[in-house]
Amino acid sequence: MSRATRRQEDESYRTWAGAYRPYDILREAAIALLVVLVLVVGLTILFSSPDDSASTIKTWSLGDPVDFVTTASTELDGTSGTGSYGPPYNHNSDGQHIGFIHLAKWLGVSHPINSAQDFVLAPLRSLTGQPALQHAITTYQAAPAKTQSGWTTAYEAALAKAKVTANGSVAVTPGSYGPVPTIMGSLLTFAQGGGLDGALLTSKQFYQTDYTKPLLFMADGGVLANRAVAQHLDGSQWGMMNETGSYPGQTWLWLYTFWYQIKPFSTSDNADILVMAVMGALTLALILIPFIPGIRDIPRRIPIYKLIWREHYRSPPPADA
Amino acid sequence: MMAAIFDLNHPAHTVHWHFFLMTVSNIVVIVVMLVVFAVAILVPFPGHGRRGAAK
Amino acid sequence: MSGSTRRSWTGAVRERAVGALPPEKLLPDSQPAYMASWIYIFGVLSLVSLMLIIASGVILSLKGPGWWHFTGVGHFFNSIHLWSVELFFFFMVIHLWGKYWMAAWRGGRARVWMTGAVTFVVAIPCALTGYVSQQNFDAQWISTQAKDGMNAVGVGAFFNVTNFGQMYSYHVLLLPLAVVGLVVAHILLVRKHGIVPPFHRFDGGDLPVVALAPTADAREASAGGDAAPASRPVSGAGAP
Repeated sequence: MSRATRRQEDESYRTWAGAYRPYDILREAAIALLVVLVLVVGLTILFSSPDDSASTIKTWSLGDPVDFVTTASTELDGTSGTGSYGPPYNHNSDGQHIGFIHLAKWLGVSHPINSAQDFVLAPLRSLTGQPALQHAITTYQAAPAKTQSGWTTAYEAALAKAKVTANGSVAVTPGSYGPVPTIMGSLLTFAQGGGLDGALLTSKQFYQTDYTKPLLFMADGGVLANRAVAQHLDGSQWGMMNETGSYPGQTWLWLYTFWYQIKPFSTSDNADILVMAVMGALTLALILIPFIPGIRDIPRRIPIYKLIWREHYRSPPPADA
Repeated sequence: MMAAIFDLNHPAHTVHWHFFLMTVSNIVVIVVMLVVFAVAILVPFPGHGRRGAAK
Repeated sequence: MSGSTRRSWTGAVRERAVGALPPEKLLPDSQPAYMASWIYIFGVLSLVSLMLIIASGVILSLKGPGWWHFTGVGHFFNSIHLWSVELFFFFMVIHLWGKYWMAAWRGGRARVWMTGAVTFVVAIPCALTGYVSQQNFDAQWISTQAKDGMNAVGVGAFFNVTNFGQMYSYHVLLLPLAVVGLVVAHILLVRKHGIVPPFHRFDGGDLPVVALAPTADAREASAGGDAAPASRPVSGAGAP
């Protein structure tokens, strides 16, 4: 079809000079409201909604002390997910990129988190009346970086074979860990008593609405991930579109999660920015369908419209056309 | 308030084929959407003169 | 209209608005005869689902974000809110499918399509901010996962999904305003341009003026069945 013909045809669709029939738009909206209300109330009565209660640092440290302490040790030496994340939390990596486009790096560190200070040392420094602990922290901070990482690396290796004692603490085989076991033991006790949840939250002011720190700390360990895998919420389980229990989830995210399941996305360090780029392009294409040759012509070529308007095509054309 | 008639608070059943892995609940939603779309197009609309539908 | 030589802004806006959308276009009591399919109800179904989302959302926000965890009534309205959202997306996507297969952007209606598509796109973060505002395990998991996508594209620098206060504000105020604004624009554009007419019959049938070369696959056999008699628009609205 030539451009002129296309434009001419398109102009002819601007107005409808044919038959009308009576129609009550407000009554139709009222009936629709009633129908959907009945559907929604029906679904509510049949299925309700899910509400799995939140994990806390307390429940995490009581339920899996070894995982808690291992995670805390990686926070201390900066090898945790958050510690090595990069922007927007710190400069310890460049963040994801596509080619030369480093959006995370360009937007910078807007929520600074020093994993050692914020998750371990500062909360412990706030504890009074514990001279042994304070001495251990001072010893750790005074040591050279190489010594510090020697202690934490050895400790993390030992934690792989750690045992949980009767009182909920963590026991490892003797080794050269410096003050790290003392620090970790105190942090574990603090967490199991419930104090660390609060300490991580109210670190800037009294009123809090920002849960970034406790959430990142938990996400660095296994407490959230283990629950997620059990509920099919993990990324590799197409979890983005799922909900806890057997409820339908955000089904409209199916295409977004699909890309993560296939190469090159499934094996890329830059998976997130790659998927966002693909979905950004597809979203733009969706919005601009009227202008995309080929895509905009499919409805004409695959004539589902003939089913939709079959009554119209059956009726004779107006005589005075 | 009463509890739900059907308790959906148990881990979902899934359909797994190669890398395709979807929960039954989501599959049900998608299938129902396709069926409703087909039904909407195929089922005859009430005749002229009666109360009609909108956009 | 005013007779004054100095044009008032108010008068200009009023004349433009009334010109684009006279009352009989804004609230018509007739519709084109070709609208004879159940596919046409999915727009209004999406709209009323959105109304229920907002109504249940208002009740949830009246009592604050923690309420629904501790009372049966609260949980009931949370369920209403969740299922309204599921139905909103359900009906909206079917509406989108229908409009695609009708090529409803024809005849100068590109903006109708685009406002609708953008509404869908904006509804997605609106839902996401709701999910991360639930203050339960689901919110914890979704926020700690979604942060990676946001951070990867730099959006995480100013949109922090683990910041409950920020997410709740987006969810309760900013994004619903955006969705409602887009839906209003979409509906006004639909009323202004009218519902897209069917594709031509290419046997020279009902559309006057344009003489187009028929394509081989667009032949329509004229059936002899009953048809609505051609009638003038009931309300005198003229062309849609």
